[in-house]
Amino acid sequence: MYLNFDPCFKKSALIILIIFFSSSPAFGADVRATVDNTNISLNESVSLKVIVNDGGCDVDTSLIKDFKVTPRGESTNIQIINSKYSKEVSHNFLLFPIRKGHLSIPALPVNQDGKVFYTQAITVNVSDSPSEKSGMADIFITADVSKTDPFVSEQIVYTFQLFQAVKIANARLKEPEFKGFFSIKIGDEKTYRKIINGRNYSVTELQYVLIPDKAGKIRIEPSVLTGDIARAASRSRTNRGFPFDSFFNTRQLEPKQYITKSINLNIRSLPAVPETVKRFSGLVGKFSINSEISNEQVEVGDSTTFSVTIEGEGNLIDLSRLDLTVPDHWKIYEDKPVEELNTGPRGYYGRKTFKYAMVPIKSDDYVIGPVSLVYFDIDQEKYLPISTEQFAVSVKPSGDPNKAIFADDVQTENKKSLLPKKITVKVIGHDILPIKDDLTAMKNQSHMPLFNYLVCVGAPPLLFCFFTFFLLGYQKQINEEKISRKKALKILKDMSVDRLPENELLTSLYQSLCFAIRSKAGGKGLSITSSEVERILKPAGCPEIIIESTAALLEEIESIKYSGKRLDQADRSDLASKSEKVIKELCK
Amino acid sequence: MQIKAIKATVCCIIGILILFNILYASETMSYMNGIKAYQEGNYDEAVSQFTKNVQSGINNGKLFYNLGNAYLKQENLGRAVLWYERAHRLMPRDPDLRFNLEYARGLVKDQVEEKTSPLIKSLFFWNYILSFSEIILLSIGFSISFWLMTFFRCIYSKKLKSFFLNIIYYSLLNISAVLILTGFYNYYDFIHVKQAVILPEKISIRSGLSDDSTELFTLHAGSKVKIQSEKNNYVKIYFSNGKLGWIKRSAIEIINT
Repeated sequence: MYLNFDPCFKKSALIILIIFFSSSPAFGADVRATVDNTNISLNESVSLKVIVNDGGCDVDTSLIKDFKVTPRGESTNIQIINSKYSKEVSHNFLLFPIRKGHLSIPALPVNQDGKVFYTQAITVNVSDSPSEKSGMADIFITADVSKTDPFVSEQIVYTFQLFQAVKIANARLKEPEFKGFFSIKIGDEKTYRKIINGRNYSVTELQYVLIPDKAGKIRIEPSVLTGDIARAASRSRTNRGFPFDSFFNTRQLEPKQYITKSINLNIRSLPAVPETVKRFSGLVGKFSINSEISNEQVEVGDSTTFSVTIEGEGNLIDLSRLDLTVPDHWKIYEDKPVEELNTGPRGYYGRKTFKYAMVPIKSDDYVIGPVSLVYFDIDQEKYLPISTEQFAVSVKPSGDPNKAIFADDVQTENKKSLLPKKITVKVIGHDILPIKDDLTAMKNQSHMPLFNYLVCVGAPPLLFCFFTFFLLGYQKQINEEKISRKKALKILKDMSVDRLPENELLTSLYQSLCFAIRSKAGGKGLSITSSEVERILKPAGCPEIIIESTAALLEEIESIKYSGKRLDQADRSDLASKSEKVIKELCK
Repeated sequence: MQIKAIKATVCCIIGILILFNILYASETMSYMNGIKAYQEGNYDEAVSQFTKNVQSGINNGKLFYNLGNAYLKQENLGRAVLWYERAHRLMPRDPDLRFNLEYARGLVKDQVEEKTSPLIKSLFFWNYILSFSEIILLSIGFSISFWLMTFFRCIYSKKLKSFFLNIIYYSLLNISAVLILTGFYNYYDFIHVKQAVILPEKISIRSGLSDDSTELFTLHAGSKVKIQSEKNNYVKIYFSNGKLGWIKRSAIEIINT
């Protein structure tokens, strides 16, 4: 059976179907990677685009090992051409080469909705940067040190220079860490111009003083400069010769990275201190020493100032005290040293002055000085002693009684000083205490999980509540039993066997007996039948004979009560005495 | 049939005991090798051996202290401070540890800008001299003592209400309440407040989650920071008031693991 459609309807349906399928989005991801340049030099960068059709995704760039990767955001391109919808998302990255050679950008995994697609691998040829001296490079950087084999504590100068023939924007410098050195920057950066191979460069220079801490081979890591260089936009490059180029010329910033070479240093230990040297001051460099005294003619109690100045280039900052020999009968007051240190192209230089206020306490002729110290001379590479001149000081008796008293006080103080002086204990070495070698270190000390802690802390109050509740219940039962006993005996006591009507007598006996049963076994309710007696009394540990007699008595009372039997006086007395005996037995 | 089952059970128990013994022996051997390597100056080997012990699940202050020593001798200040800090949580009163930790902290280049106030330390002194585990055990002990005494007071109401016993009773109540609250605070702190140590010699803290984000400040190995959040292999850290930013996850190690 065939359906016959109108030819016009068939055409219309066909057109609708074509439009419908052609306008539906493309299924499945098309992933590709592109770079802007495959031949670059070491200080240039490559712009990598990972383009994915149809929607967002994650690009894993961790596989790129030969380049430093910097993400530069995403861009989206949506097109509808002839009712065909397409969407492209570009993931942009900037790659800085780490070394020269044929470097590879491997196939990068792109994760889209749980499915992984791969880009194609790309090889980039990285060549050396243009020679610095050729004048070809627009921008280059250099780093150098003033000496590559200094001694420990000898200062050297690290110089970083940025040469730029074109301007660099957003420049960021990452200096080395100077591991193994005490480092300090010398002043502000200097800027000057220099012509290399006929090309005019603007030079920016930074300097650091480095003082090595320990001997051995040390590597100063490269300095890294990153920044953007303005380049003519690609559109203007393609339209060379267009008359309005200079007017419409647009420029775009191209990211760049420059790296200096690393510097290897061999730090030498200082030679062994000769035995003739009493104490090495720790100074390394080139130094001189001189001294002066404010007054060579003084009276007892007068003060004179003795100054010692050490001047030169080197680690003066490390010198904290001098060995000054004070004559007897002088009191000395040490002042804080005055530093006038500067940093220059050769490192630290300047002077350090130690001042002492000296007061004589006895008249005589004295010699002050000389003050000596030993430093390590870096030019001669040996330990050199330097010393100040001597001063002859004449001390005369004082006419001022106050100064004489002062002198006496100082003498008394000096006598006291014959006793052993208290010395502040100073730490002269630094190290850690040794490891612990006992096997208790193998014991686990993990703390309790939170849930266990909650149980441990919550259990005592819960147990307390439980036991308290139980005890209260028990106490209540005991109280009920006591009350029942009292009631049973009270009814028995108040009951007048001879005068009470028969019905009331039987009711009283019945009630008393019920209370007696309740006093033994607890519980509530005063309507107990003879058949229930055993069930109630047996669990309470009541002897069998009492249970039987109680049941029999209860049955007898019930049968008399409900049968309407008349009791004579003898029966009443007999029933009452039987009841009293059983009740008292139960209430024991 | 029954005898066979008993035999199999006994064999299983003996097997498990032997296996446990072998494992313990290998851990002990590794520990002893670590000590020997340290004493011979082979700090790399010492670190490797002590790390094996830690990886086998041993959580001990002395072991962490030894590991801190080995790292410090290796001149790895970041990891040395990390392991000393971990040891300090387990044995806060150990004098050797306190000495070495202070020494290591002295080598850290960054100055600590936010210190716990001495007043807080005096007010909550027990939390600074007792370890986490000790506070937990003491709080449980005091809590049990308090509830036992409460129970006996209910039973022997008149005998256990003298002045002296009242003082003991209310002291137990206060101490157990304080210790339990401290215990819960410590659990909260352990679970929610993540402290970490900077591992590299020098690292830049940046404003965003990439290497080219603006550098805000730099920190050095051994500095302690608080972790505020984590995203795409980066963590947001807090050093002091006004000093927070993003850093790579691999550049830090969390203390309270």
